[in-house]
Amino acid sequence: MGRPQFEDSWKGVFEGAESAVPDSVWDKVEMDLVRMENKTNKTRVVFYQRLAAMVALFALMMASYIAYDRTSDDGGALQIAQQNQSSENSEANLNSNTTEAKPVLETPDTEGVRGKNTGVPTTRVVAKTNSTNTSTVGNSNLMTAPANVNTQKSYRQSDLTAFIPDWPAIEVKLKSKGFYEPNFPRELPAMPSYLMASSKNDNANEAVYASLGFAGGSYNPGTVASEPSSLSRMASQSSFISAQAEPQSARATIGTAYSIGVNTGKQLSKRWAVQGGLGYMVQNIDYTSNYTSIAPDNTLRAAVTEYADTETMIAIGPPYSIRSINKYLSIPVQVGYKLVDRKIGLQLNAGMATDLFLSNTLKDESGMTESFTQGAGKESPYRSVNWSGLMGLELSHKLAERYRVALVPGIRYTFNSALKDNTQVSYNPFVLDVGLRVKYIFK
Amino acid sequence: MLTDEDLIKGCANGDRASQKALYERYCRKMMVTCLRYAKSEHEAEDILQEGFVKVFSNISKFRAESQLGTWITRIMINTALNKQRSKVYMLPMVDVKESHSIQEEEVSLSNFHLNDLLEVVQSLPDGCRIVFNLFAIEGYSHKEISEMTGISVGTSKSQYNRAKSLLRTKIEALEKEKLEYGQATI
Repeated sequence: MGRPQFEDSWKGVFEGAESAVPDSVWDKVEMDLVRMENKTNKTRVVFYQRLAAMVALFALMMASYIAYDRTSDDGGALQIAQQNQSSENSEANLNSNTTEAKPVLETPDTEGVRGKNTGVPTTRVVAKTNSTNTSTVGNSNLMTAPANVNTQKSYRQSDLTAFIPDWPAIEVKLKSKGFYEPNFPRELPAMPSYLMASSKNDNANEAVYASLGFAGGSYNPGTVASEPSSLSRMASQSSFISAQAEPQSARATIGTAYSIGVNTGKQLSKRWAVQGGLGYMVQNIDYTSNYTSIAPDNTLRAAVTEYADTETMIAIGPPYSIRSINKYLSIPVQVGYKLVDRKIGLQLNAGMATDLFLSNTLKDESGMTESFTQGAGKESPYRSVNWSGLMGLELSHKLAERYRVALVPGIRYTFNSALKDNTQVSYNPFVLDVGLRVKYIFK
Repeated sequence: MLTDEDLIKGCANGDRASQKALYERYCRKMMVTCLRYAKSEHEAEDILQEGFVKVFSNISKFRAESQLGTWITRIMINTALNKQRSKVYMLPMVDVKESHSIQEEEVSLSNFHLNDLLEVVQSLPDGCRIVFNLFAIEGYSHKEISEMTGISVGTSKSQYNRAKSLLRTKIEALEKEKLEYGQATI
């Protein structure tokens, strides 16, 4: 047989040849495809989460910039005023022929701000020349001195009283000690209200409040650690299982969580508050599984390997989708620190929650198999009591005298495994959610 | 019956029914390809599984420059080579010096069952099996094989000669066995 003949004869043997393929191969392909789709979905969720975070960050930065910008503008005006004050003598020395002098008069107040200002002349003269625009303070409402005022002359207070209108005395306090404290009657709106220290706390009366809210977000069971042997051993013992197929289930990386709850809170001090309440939580996550458990009455129940009961008989079949639904009753206790306490409030909350397990349901979304629900208790693989750490922000807005609406993004991490130690499977749920809360203020 | 184009469109949209239909259309042929490259049936199933997952993941990149079957075969071969690559590196192929001794005798393969021939091919050492499949069945040149597998052209040639020699010996043994049991086709 020549070389081409050798190749041709072998090629001829395999050309168009077919061989039987076990059904389990397609099942595995389908499982892999489902895994890939879940991974893609996870990537999308992460992308949108990051996008949302970036948008929030951008909005925060813009808000900060605008606030800073406004502060700078007013600070600039104050700086100009300060410069005017420090250079008042030189301004006063300008040529009176070309100068229109504008004496800006001080409040005839001898208390308060003025009391600290004994060394500072009580009169400020701002000169406005035709040729050189030295500086201006305030606006055209300022009183203007007669045209022939000798600006070199030092005014006495008694001389100035003639120029003083009958304005009410305004006491101006600045929040920051570093800011210039003007000692002249301020003409509104020279200073934004948020720079003034309020003698009265707008929200001092929010001592006790109650709130009703709901939240939704993502639920991640985290890394599931398991002992792999139990189910394989069980599978090998079961007569229902084909020798080649193995029970498998793949979990989606991210699920959904939502909750509804009531809270009540008490303000401990100007900045600190404590709040607690009661909530009902639902955590969902999807699985794809290729087997079902067989109930004593021979009905097929949805099953996944992570929560498999090793005593139960199982049957392998084509992959199907299962939704695992965990329900909890949560009792959170949190301490809040008010970062901003005005009409718009910002509060940082942190605390703990006791989560009481209610039930887990494995639900076949196709409806082909029975749903399987397990409650709490001694026989349940789930821990009855779980401990979670909570942290979140509360961005609120006062709607009326007694109402506040708040947006509450937060995280919840369960410190203990949701399953009992003897299940040989452990995972710690992590929830990232955003809630909406309506507060009613009692007093 | 759906055409390949319909199946491609459906698969590109992630339609599970189209994916299954495409799988069922090609899986048996591809299984033979996988069996040629694998050492066992179990390994062939793994290659087939992985290969079809790659097919469905990349089907949107299929440009219809070749037939769909050819494209899927190429993916299966690449998947098999990736699986075998570690073995190829672990057992570096050396030049075989027995190439001169190959006898050019004609052996008719049509007398043998496909499964017997597959077993013969699977019984070849990893390096020989890969080179034999790529050269004799797929029709790649030794230069192309050297680029695909990372071995030298000389090594590819000598491995192929060794594969031929081993196959001839095994086929002869198989023929003798069949004659002994009276199964040979006359």
